[in-house]
Amino acid sequence: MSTLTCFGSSYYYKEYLIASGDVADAIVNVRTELLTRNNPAWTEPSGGLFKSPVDAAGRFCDVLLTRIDQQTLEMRVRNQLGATVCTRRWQAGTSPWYLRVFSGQFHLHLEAWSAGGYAHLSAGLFDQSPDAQGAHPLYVYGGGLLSNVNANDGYSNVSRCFMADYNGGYADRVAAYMTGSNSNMCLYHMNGAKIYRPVEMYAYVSSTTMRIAGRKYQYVLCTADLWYGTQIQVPIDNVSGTFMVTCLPTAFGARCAIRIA
Amino acid sequence: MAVPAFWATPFSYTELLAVTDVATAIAGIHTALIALGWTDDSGVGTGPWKTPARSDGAFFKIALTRTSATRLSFMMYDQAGINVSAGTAYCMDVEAAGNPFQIFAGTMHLALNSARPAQHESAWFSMMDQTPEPLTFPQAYYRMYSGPRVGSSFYNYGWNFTYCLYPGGTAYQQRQVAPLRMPGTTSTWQRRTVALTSLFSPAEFADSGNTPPMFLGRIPQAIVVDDTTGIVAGAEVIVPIDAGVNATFKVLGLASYYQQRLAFRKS
Repeated sequence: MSTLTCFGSSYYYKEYLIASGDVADAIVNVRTELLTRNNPAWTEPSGGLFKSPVDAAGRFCDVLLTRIDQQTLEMRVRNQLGATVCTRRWQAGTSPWYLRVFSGQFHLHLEAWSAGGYAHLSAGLFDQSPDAQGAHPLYVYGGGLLSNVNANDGYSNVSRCFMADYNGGYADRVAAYMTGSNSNMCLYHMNGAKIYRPVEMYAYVSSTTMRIAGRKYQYVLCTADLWYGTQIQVPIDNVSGTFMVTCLPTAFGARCAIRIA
Repeated sequence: MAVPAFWATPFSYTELLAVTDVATAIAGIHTALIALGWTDDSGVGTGPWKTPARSDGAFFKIALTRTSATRLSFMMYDQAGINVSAGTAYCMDVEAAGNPFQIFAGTMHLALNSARPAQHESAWFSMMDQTPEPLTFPQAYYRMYSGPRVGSSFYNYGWNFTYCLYPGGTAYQQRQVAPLRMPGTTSTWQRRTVALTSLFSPAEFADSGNTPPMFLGRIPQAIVVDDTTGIVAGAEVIVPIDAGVNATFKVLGLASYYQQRLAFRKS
């Protein structure tokens, strides 16, 4: 065996202090990350519209970052067909806050760490292996803490993201490691050891049937007792990766961590 | 990476044609087990049969009894000599007119399938693989299927309905445990991708009655298949288990459990 494809993509991480407390500065820093540090680099077809690198299968997504006001950042995510997957926001407050940028050729996850709490905006593609990449069209996901009217509706967390599937973009479930009637995922060995797993997402193909859409690139599921920002070492092959626990809200006893080294 | 430990244990597959007397099945099981390094306590082919000791010394024993020409009874004992099914002798039948009988044997498992035309009758016994955790901690872990019948009463429980000893426990309990990736009870999360590729998972289990659910281990050389694809008892599926390595698994006759069936490795 070799490393899972979902851990074979590029990844970058950087934290910025947004001293102005203005999301406009966050957009500047995200631009630096995506256009300058990322390799392969994202492109910016128009102001604030960032397009992920197109892979060999022709897959990509794009995100539009918009400053709504000083504290409100909006991210619109579109799939490869130009269909809007979601439009989500965060409000980081007007005091200085920290911006955390997790990025790579197939993922972008932004976090605002402020005195008022934690917020996130997310977008990316799924690894569809062992199916061929692009074998089905449901490979773009998005999310964010608040709706486009600034409501914390709970639609974006560890188990939920938005996709342009049968369910019309409503939240789907990361169900791969559920255990039937138990509401928690299986992330502990019987001896107490923690288990880390890839983040596999299901998509609705009808009103009652979900099938596996793919895995988020460079994400792992971890136990919910690991606080946001915790760094963990996870063996992903004959090497270990360093992952940081994100502020994606907990669901089913699980949190998510994204690779930083 | 190499092939995971639970795909690397020695195994064999035997099919006996038109078994009319379970003595034939016992003889076939004896041959299969001895070839894999099990030992026969009786020395004359009547058992109980003991698995090869694992690296930490763990093993289990199986006792088989010919209750009648058409009824095979069995008991499982852990390495401490405790009767796993708390004294209940489960059994399986063959047709008086004969039916195929399949034996899936391994150094850490044994599964039996009596392919009766109207209804297969199956059973399985296993020491669970818990890698990558150390084998010796917290304990060797055994499972036995609660079926298919007690005397003439045919239960055909879901194949997750088993006897097992939980950490800290002193007696085996009859418990239902959940296979990982189990579909929910209100929605169907199929073991297929959106592109309709089937997903065959190792037969991994969690203690769904505990929060958080703990990972209990895997049955070596076994997988879970999604029967919404039309897979039925006796079907064979070819599954890649490593780069360039395919394995063939055969579905047991146990009842479907939330659209899932259990299959053991044949080759």
